[in-house]
Amino acid sequence: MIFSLPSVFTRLPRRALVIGLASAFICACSPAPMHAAEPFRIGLILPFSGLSASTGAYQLAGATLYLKQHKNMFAGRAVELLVRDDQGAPEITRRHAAELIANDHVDVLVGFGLTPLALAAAPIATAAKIPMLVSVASSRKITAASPFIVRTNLALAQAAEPMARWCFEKGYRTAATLVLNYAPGHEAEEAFAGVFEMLGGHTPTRLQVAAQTPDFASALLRVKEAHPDVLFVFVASSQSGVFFRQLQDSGLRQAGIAVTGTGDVVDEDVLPALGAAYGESLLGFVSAHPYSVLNDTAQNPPFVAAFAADNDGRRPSSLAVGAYDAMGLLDHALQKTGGAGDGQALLDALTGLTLESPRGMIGVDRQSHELVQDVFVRTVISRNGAFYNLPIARYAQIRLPPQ
Amino acid sequence: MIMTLLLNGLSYGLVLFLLSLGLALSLTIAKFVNLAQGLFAMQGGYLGYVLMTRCGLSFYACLPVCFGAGALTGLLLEALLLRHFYARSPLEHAGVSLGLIFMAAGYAEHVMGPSPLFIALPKLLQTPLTLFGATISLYRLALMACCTVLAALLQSAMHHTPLGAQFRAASENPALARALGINVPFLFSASFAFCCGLAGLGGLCTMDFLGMDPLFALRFMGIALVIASLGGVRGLTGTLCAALFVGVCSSVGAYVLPSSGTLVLDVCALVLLLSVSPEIFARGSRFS
Repeated sequence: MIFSLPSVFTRLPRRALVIGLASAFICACSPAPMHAAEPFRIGLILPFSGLSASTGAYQLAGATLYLKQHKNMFAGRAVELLVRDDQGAPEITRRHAAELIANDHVDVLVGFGLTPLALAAAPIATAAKIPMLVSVASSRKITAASPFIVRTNLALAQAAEPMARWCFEKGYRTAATLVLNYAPGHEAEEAFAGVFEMLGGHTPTRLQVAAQTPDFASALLRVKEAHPDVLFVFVASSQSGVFFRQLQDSGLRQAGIAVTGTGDVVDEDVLPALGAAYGESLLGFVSAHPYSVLNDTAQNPPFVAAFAADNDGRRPSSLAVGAYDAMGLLDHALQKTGGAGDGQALLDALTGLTLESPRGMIGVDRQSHELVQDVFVRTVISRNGAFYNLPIARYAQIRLPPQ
Repeated sequence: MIMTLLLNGLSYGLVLFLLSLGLALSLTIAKFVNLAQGLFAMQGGYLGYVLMTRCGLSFYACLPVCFGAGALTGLLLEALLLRHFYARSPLEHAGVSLGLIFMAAGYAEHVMGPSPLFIALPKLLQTPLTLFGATISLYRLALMACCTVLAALLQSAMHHTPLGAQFRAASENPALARALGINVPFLFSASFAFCCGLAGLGGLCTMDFLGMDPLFALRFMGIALVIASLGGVRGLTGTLCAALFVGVCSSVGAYVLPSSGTLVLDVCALVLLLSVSPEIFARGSRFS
């Protein structure tokens, strides 16, 4: 293509051309007084297909519940939620992030169901100066990847550390860890073992199983031989059925080894089905997590009821809460900035923000951009034939150090 | 410890045997590369789940139902779809099977959801037993016993009954068998349906080992190919030995190097294939 000015330009007098261009430029640069009327666009990128598909479903349900309760308005601005399925593939996440920012002009990105997906989108958020709220993925590498990232769910270390403390206080002195062989799993193992050994315990047996097709039976056999006082596990909620079956077969409980873990393995979306399948052998399983349906906060019971009403009686999982709180944080941040949605200003309003959530009081840490929140140690109980996680200990306002 | 590993591996291997028999069979008789055996396993597993949770059927009642459903689906699929592809190239066979797997995955995800599902075994089967110092549930033990009996029955049927003789003739030389008056298409349809029924049964049993999710057929395809390459596709004994080998290797590998996934199995299989020969577990005779 040969670049040449169309003939119309060469026919216009040059002065008129200069004035015309200058005025157009000035109009474009003037601050747009239309912010209040312009909708606030949120780009939600999550896996809705493949093994992580329930992640997308629960997050969307949580987000839409918040928007419905607040009539789709944040600080006087209408909210548009643009949802994209990245199918759990980082290349697709990256493409959606770029398209949402360039074509759809979103003001913020939310979601990211796995660590690689969040890491793929991080450079784009940094370059475009758009805040990125990570409401699922739980590795600490993510908050280090971009200054524009804010976490709204939890980093796995936040659940592992209180668990280690509780185990030590209970009197256990030797522990074994069993985690999935990927970033969040390694972090959970390091956090647990770090705190446990600092307090005076020992974690000689540290096992990692393949994340894709875990064979827990053989790893549990090794744990049984090592005979620690307590076993700490991190297993994704989608694998909890297989894990509990093999835990039962392994006879660890009969051998006198206590089993604890992060709350993912008994998360609210799988707990009813697990309870129906495993009944009594599930009772007394201790886990650590910020959210349970039985969390005793002012906002929780109405939240659980509203979620069940909108979603065929299902319970909100911690992922639904993560998305619900992401919307809440954005709402309050916009109220703080008076409706202006510019990248850096919005980010500054988000960091340091505190919010009352169904899980309790949460806040965004200024330096680490992690969420400061209460973590509860819960035990599985049976109530009216259904299974619940009952909080038995509270570790208040767990804050992670900046990286 | 070794006994537990061995028993775990053998029980896993026997379930794999149930699932992979169909592949061996269709490759021998119809020369059709049927990678979609996992499909019937998925049907068996999901059907069992629905019957047990929504209709309240017991596990024991579900076993024949899943077998029957698998057999019926296999019969229909073979008659309506697969039969038309026998004359085509193996690549097209693989294409058809893969297409079926993806269709099944999408349908299963839409109807049953993307999360893995699990069933509650009867209390009796969940009892842990101690055998030679190994802890094993009654379920696994019963499974091993039943599969061994089944394999023995199939073997004796193959070699000591007239039907078995006809079957072996048809697999050796279909054209000649037809000329002798053996109804080869019927034999194949019937045995294919039987193998699909077995796969359905295997799918129900697998729900306890691996859980059932929409991508099961895809994952199983890899394992089935390993079994086929090690055990040959000539018949029972080869498939059985290969399946047991895969089961034990997976179990031992997961114990020795838990974080490596299927690496130990893959390396062992590769070493065997390269150093000895492919189909090392198949015996000399054509259909044994």
